[in-house]
Amino acid sequence: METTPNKITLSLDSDAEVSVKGFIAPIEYTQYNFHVEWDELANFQVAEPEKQYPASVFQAFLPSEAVSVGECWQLGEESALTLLQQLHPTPKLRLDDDDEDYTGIWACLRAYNDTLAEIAFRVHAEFIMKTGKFTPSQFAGHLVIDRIQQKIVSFKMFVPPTTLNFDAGWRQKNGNYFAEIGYCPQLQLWTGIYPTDVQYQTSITPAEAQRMLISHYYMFHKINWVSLEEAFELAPVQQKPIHAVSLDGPLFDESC
Amino acid sequence: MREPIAKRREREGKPFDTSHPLAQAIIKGWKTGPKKGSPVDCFVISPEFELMGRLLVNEFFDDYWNKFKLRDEESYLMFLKDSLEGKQPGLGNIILNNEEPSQDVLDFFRTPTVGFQDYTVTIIDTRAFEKGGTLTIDIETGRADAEGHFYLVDGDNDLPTAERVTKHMVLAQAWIEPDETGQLTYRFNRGQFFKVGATGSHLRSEKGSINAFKAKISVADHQQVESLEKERPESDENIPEVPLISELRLVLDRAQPVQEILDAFRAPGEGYQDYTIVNIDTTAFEDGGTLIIDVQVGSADTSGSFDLFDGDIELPTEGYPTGALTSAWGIGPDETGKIRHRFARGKVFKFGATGDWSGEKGRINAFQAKISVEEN
Repeated sequence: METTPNKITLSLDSDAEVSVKGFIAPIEYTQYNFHVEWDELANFQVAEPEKQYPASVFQAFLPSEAVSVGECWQLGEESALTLLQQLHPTPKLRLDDDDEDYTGIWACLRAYNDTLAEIAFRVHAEFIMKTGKFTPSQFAGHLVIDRIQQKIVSFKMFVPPTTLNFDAGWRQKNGNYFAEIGYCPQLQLWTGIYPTDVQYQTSITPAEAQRMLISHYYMFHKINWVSLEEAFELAPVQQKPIHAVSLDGPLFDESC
Repeated sequence: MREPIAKRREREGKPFDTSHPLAQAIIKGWKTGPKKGSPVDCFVISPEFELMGRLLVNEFFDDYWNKFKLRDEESYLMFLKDSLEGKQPGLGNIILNNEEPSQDVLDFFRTPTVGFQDYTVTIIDTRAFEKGGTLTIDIETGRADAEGHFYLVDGDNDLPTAERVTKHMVLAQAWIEPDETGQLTYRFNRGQFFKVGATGSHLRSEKGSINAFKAKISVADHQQVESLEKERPESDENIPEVPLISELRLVLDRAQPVQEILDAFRAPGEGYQDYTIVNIDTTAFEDGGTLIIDVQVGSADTSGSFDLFDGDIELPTEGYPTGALTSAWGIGPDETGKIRHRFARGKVFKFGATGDWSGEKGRINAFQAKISVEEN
């Protein structure tokens, strides 16, 4: 439904049911080999490989008011937690290390036409284990809606396969607590097939949507960062020194 | 973790080009300066890809608060300004000026296993002395077996890795046996950068052998030197001789209740111990006292752990040192620690120095320990 020019409202058929699949691949590597030595990490598996949800769970991903492309809003926390429980029974949205900086979870309208609308979202969450915690870098995702039938076409919530994509903490029997970082190739929830070759009436790129979302989580994102290659090109041309930040882990997510 | 990451990049066709000049500058930055291995480093790099400054985030803000009582953002601004003004903060340079004309370095050197390449390099910035002065470096070597060669060269020269240091490059040099002292001096007309290279003597010491050294680096401007020379024309005779302990057994008594040692320790790898042992004899203090050991760890990139044991105990080679009387663990590079132990009757103790478990196995650092007894 169109409201004012460039703004749309979105809703879902509340009677519909949605079947969501979940999968966690074995961890490929960690810095200190915790994925071998720590049982909970070695046996980290999806809690429920498939689960039915009422469409109302996904209604919380939609904006409560009309929005335009590029506009962001906060997601309903309960629904996000309900979905995350399919991966692991004890998810938590306020991360232990960043409780004071908690800014909620965010979604953004990426594109729409007369029949489809795509929402991009980003969730920061962690799983509380019996003897520690597992903190994915982020859950990125999309929700594509059939605007006419008010049904979900495609939903995916996943941890991007970056070089290092989770942080973990293990409290060992002697009481000592150790931090770990590593890579899990696949950790995701999904349903439906992502539609390709869609001509959207209005859209921004997925990268632009991610940038808009990330700005709600990190102040430093307001700095105009450039890649190593860009800095290499720009510095001699502009005759300006380079201010470089080198990190053992990523800066733009929660994996470090 | 580098190996699986590299394999994955190869598998996914996304290799990272570490020969990239900017990547090389950053990698050089990781290896520069007294402390290495920080999880977060900030660099200022010139348009020609030369390092101008380096900041270890995990330590920087506390350090600047302790030194200058500055807020975080003010400290960071100071780092950026210092970098742009050519002060090279964080690059491990010894910066001498009229306010601080003398500084100490505690580090170690290694006898080369191949060629002449194992230099521990200290960069000295004397640019504040625009009208020149005399650079003096008083060196003490530790009690380990390796003999040291010390070379002073111009800051623009790189110490050669595949051949001997050439005569025309050397501004001053000294060959110093273990437990000895020596001096390098050089008179310069205009402030500049210098480099001091310390290495083991490959002809006289076992390949790979190490030793600690302590260097007091100071500059006197020409005016000061001239007045000193008038007062003390035979200056060589006035070089302070600092006694060093050359025996494994160190005896403390009322006549000499304080002694110092200079030595090195090695990181044993997680779960193990590889002690450098000092026997401390306090039997002269029959009525007891308190044994106090003030430890300073050198500038190399591994932390030290220090344990005090009864003299008759065999020191463990693995696991936690449960038999230790008292300990000081995880003392970082350039940091200090203290051990205190009260005893009822004088006896022999064993003081063990080893690397912290978090350090990469085999890494070495120097330490200096001031060992004293306060009588009851």
